[in-house]
Amino acid sequence: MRNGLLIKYGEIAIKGNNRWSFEHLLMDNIKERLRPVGPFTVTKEQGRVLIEPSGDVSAEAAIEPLTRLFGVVGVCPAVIFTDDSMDSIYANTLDFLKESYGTDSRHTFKIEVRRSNKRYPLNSIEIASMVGEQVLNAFSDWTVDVHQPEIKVFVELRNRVYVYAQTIPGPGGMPVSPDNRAVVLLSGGIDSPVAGWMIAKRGVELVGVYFHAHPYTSDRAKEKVVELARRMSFYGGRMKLYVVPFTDIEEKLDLTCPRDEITILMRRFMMRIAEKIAEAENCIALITGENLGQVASQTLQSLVCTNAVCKLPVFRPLIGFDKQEIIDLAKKIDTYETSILPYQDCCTIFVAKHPVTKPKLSGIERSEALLGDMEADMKDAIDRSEIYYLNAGHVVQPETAR
Amino acid sequence: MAEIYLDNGATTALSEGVMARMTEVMRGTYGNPSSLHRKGQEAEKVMEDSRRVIADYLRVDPRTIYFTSGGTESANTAILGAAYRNRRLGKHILTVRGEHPATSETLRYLADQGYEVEYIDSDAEGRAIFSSLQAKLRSDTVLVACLHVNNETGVIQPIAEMGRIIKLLNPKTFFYVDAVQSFAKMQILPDEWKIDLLSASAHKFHGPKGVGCLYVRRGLQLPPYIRGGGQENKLRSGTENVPGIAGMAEAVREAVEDMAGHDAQMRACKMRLYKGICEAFPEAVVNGPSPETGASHVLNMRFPGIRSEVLLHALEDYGIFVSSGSACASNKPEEKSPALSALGLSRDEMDQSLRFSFSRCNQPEEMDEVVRALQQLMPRLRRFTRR
Repeated sequence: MRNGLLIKYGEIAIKGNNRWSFEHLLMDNIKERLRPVGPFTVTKEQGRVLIEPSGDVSAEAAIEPLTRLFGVVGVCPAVIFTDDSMDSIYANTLDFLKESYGTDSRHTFKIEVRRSNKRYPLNSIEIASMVGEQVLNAFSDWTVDVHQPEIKVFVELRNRVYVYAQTIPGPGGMPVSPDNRAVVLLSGGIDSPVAGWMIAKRGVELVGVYFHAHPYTSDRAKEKVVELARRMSFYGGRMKLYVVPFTDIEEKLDLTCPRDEITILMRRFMMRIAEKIAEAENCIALITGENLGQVASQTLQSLVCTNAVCKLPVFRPLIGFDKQEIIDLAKKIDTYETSILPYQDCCTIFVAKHPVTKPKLSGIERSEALLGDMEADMKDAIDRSEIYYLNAGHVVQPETAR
Repeated sequence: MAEIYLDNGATTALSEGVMARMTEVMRGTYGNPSSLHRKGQEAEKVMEDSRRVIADYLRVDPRTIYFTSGGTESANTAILGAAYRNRRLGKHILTVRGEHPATSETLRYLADQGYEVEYIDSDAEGRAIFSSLQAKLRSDTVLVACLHVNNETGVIQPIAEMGRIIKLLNPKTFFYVDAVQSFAKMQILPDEWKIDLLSASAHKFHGPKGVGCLYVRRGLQLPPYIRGGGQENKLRSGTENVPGIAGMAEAVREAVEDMAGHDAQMRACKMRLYKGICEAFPEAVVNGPSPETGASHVLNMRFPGIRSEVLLHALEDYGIFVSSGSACASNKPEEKSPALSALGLSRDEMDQSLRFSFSRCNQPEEMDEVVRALQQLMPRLRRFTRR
């Protein structure tokens, strides 16, 4: 009986003249997300997207993937029908409620009617009370409560009629667009996947960059980052991941520069490489999981030093969070368990016992000058990168950049 | 790139002969040994033949051999069963420091249940000291649990002497020996050595994973650890892993055929690598027993100033596979390397230790390549150490 889903997308609906472009983007993303699930038709109507199975697949199967798609505010299992006579509305509503709640349950309810078809002979209040009466007759233990009902039954009369009672929340945000691309620096820790998720939620397609330092880090650390990216892609959809070999640069830094500044210098090169990858990938911003004061390299002074090498805007959505707030989000988006697996990320091996916490940019630049020209080193690292393609939880094994 | 696999203490490559035997059994002898028809009978015969092969190696009655899923299950069955069987005797258990977690964690569980777990003192190489065993063995000691060959250091415990002392002082005390590292590599004589319970695992000697056995001395009735259909004389229910059991027996057969020859070959590999390392890196130190007295297949060495996990990953690039006891500094090395910790090594020292473990598949000449790889890697790695 429940034969479709009604998708609520909130924020997009209040856009102005370009609303259609967001709607079409959302519909495209829905279609792509549902392609592996089965055949569905996706249509839109006045602030709603409708999803109906067009073959041998249940509408329910589409719920879970859609609750992780950015732009979706809520998913409502619904019955959708064309005959808008009152008899048809009665029959469909009662069937829908029986299927959803059974006949011997006890609930309080309210009928809420929306009628965009203003030529309909009855108004919303009249329809609601008439449908309500039918429900009271059919469910002997149900009672009306218009203030705090347990079940709010929505009857919407638009081009067709939709009846639904439940809204399964989606992640909200904006549909991800291939026109808005940004590079997210992934470390394998708890913070960076959350940072990437937050920016992707605002409609940004991500390209991940991870710096791998074999043999100083285990290949399992790399596998962990691939798994994190895979989990992020459940929300964002398409995602590319660069695994950049960083050992040579790290060793050079370690041999040439003061130990207590290594982390800052390393991060400056990471930012530079990320920016070069961004350029090649048509990305116009960088994203990091940096969080003010969390570690030595994330003090205000350290951030000034790492930020100084970038021309692109660097987004740090976690900058003002407390660790617990980040952990809560990581748990919510299901990256936490993977993040806490105990493999070292590349930062920890070359870390000094007492790294600088208040570096001066001029001093850092002086130390960096000892290295000479690093352009060729960075280009070589990018060229030797492995590239993974991820899409909604699927991973395609890597190829080398060149 | 040719592989040089030197992590045989973790697991070994399946032998071709074992694989062929298992395939044959999987294909042809798929019956359930408990079935009454001919297919069942055939499977039962495969199992009983296998049991005999293993019993013959240990020179014991086949009825003392029980098949299990491997070393850990055998250890759990033996230790928990022995404690239960001797519950009227007392709650005192003796063991040695640096045991495998299959033993130490099971003992910790018993300690939580109110058992008193005490350690026999060991010498500088990790070997149990007889006078300490004598002094600590009491009338209420229900169990002595001990590794035959330590998986990390290769130290060989004087099992025969320990068995004699235990049974002399308290015949009621059970003696459990974890022989996972020594089984099918050296001659073990449970009867003569007064062992009551002994565990083994097939994948440590070129057999399949997921199968092992427990020797239970005749007359000792252990309570079942896994209950059900009553297989394995009611000790271990569950349909028997017939192909695995046949594979284990085949692996024992192959190993025992020329045990002395295999031992000599592993010993040759170990000594060649040891000498090569000592010449190239005079600062390297052996952990545990001297190479001559330790087991032929284990060599544990410490390279001061080098982080073993980094060295391990760097050796991978040469196709050389070894093991570092402790994974990384952020983990607890005492838990990853209980035997090194028992020897009194510091966290840093444990972090610098590498275990090479050999099998009969290794060739002494390969060891020169390992030394060469180490020589190439060390200068680079020495420059990048934690300061």
